[in-house]
Amino acid sequence: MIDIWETVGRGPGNSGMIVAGLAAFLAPLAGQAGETISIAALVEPPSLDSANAYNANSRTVMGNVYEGLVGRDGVDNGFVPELATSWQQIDDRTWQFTLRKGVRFHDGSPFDAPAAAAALAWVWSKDNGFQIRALGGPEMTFEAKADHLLEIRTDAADPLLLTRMWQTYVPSAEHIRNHPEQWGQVAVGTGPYKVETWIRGTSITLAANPDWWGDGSADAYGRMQYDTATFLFRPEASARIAALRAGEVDFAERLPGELCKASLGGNCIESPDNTSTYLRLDSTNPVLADRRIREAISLAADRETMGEVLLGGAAPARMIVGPSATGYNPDLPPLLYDMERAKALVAEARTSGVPVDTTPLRIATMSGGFVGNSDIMEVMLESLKQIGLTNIGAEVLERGPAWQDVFIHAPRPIDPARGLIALHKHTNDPYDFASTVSAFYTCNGRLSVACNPEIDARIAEAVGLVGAARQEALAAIAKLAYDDLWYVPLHLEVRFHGVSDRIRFEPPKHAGIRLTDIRLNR
Amino acid sequence: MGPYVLRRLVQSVFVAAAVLILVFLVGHVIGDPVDMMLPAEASEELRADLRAKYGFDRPLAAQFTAFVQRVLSGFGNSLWQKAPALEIALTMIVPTFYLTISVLILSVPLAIALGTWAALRAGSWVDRSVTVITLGGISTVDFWLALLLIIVFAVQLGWLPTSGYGSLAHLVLPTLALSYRSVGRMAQITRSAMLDEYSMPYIHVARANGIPEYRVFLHALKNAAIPILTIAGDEMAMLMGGAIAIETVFAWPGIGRLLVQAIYHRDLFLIEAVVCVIVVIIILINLIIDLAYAWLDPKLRYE
Repeated sequence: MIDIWETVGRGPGNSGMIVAGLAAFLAPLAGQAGETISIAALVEPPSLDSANAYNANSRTVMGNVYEGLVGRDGVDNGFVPELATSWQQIDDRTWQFTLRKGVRFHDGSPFDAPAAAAALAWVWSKDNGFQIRALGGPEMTFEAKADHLLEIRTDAADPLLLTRMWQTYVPSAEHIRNHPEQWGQVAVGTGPYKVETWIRGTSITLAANPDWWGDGSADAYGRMQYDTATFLFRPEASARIAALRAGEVDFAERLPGELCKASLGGNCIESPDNTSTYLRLDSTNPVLADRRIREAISLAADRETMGEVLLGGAAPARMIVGPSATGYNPDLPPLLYDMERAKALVAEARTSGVPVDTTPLRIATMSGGFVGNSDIMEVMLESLKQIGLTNIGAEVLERGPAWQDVFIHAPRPIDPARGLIALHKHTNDPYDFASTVSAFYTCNGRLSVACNPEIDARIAEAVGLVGAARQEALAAIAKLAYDDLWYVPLHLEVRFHGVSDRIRFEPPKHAGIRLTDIRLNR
Repeated sequence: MGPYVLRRLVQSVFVAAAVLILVFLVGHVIGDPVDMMLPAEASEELRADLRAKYGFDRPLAAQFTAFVQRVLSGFGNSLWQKAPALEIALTMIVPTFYLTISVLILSVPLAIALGTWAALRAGSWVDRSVTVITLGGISTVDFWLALLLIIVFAVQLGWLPTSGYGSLAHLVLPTLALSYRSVGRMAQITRSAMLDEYSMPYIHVARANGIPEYRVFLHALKNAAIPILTIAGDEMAMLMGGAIAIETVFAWPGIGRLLVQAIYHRDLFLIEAVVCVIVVIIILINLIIDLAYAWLDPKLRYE
């Protein structure tokens, strides 16, 4: 932690106090030699270990320090070589990775198969129980078959193994062995930048790694352009924008769309996100169980306007995952906004005996669940009243009750009287619809509200597939989910970033940000 | 004075213990920490593993025993940041301390000056102007003022950094944003206390005996000091507890922001450490204020 008073001397009477303090006052942002870049980031990584760096928040910083066996192509989101130059599936439980030669960790230790096997075993250890295990999947064992040949065996077929290896960064096994107490506080990877300083709560400064294998390599994922890169953690969006406008930073990540466009104009750029918003309808409720009502609710959602006005440009969704995910079905028709048709469907359901007027419904969302959620809830409430669902209330739930009673530990079977329309978001970090289906659409899915045995049967087959067959099978499940409409997709979120005139950023399709993707305008 | 201090210290220990027990109980009603550590899609098996690892599946009595052991041994490691919780809390209290001290250095003399000036010119344009200014301070939302200061002094004029931590320059805007309200509150109390003192019979007697006006003023100010000290102590305690909005806007790595983040992540061990640090500091502040009361008013030592 920087001591402010270091800049002004150590106590009353120190003759250097005023002069030094004035110097600090007048030149708080003195430049450094060489090319540098400063980035105003939303979230500080809570720790520097690779097992915590898999999520999108930490990747922004740690994705420049660590590397995985495989990467993702920024254009089509396919897997590309990173620390492994090639891989093959030997059988449904065995994969072999040929590792890149000549790679060294930041501590100088060599990257080879024994080092990779030891590091990955540590990161995925059941005993350690690091959060990366939340990605799920079968247990893995890692074995060095040769100096640069790594074998990964799983205790069941794992078609998401490459995804997991993309999400798993490889730390230095030697450093873990010699300094286990530094786990989380010191990052030793193989990436183009190494951590120079970490001022907790304030900033992380990275310095170029002159020994990076990718410097000059044809199949590297970009070039190092900066001697140093500083990530300044600014949780408040207006502070990130102000820092950009004041010239303190060149890049301000993840800004609210409206604010970004209004404040930065042409310096506000969009990038894809893997987060969607949706309405989840209680299947046990006699009103929501009617397909016509569910369709009416979907028809009452003016996705275009809400996305533009309330979410700063979010795109209307047809599924609760986006086009970057395996299993996205581009053939699904857009979900329309048609209030007249919605009214007719509700009237038809009422006429046929659905207790529309006597069964109370409620639309609820979690406080701070996502930006603009309470506004969307209010708009949907009014729309649903207009189409004839007048016996409805709205509620913003605090985080604890929302998480425990609605989104995770919802009592099963769901009380038919609950009548909940839950407004929430979903982030598909693996970029694969299979993980979403398992949690959201299967009969025993953690977040599922309904049971369609055909989806269960199809996902059981699909999870074992790879490539085009997997895409096709998951897209077919997407059609079933689309027709069932237990989850009403609303929007695919878009990320907005602010950039200075000094740089340009071509967002990759996987929503990540790496310094190698941020280029200087020369 | 000795027994008085001892009595206050013993009371402080009981207060600290009571607050810590409260923290433990509240920590168990804000929800399952494992839910925040894992994504919603994580399996129940993994949740159970983590609960077992951290002892959240044990009976409440056993968890309380573990809690006491944890407190006595330094609070353990933060679940979220994977570093010693007490070390994190102590690191983050330093920026909060700097901010608090700078706010008090600016606001206490200014508030006393404004408040006494208004009292000495009661009913005049000076009094009315000070009242308007100080009411403005009490009514202004510091978050809004902070954004305004950033736009003017950092973005438009470029004189100061927009946010962050690390030099005196970074300290200026958060200090200004927090000081306006403090000045407002303390100046109003000072004005009121000074007016009360000036209406006392001893002031009239002193003036009738021809004591110079500046000595009358000093007598009044010393007797008005107790309410001023109370409000200054209250301000200090509030600031040391963390000015969350200001710390967020200015990305000031203080204890308030840390506590909010710890609650968000349901990091029970870190919450315990942060609250403990804040409680100890507030107890110390109150102790110092109590001692100052006793110094200002000897009657209090014997009550």
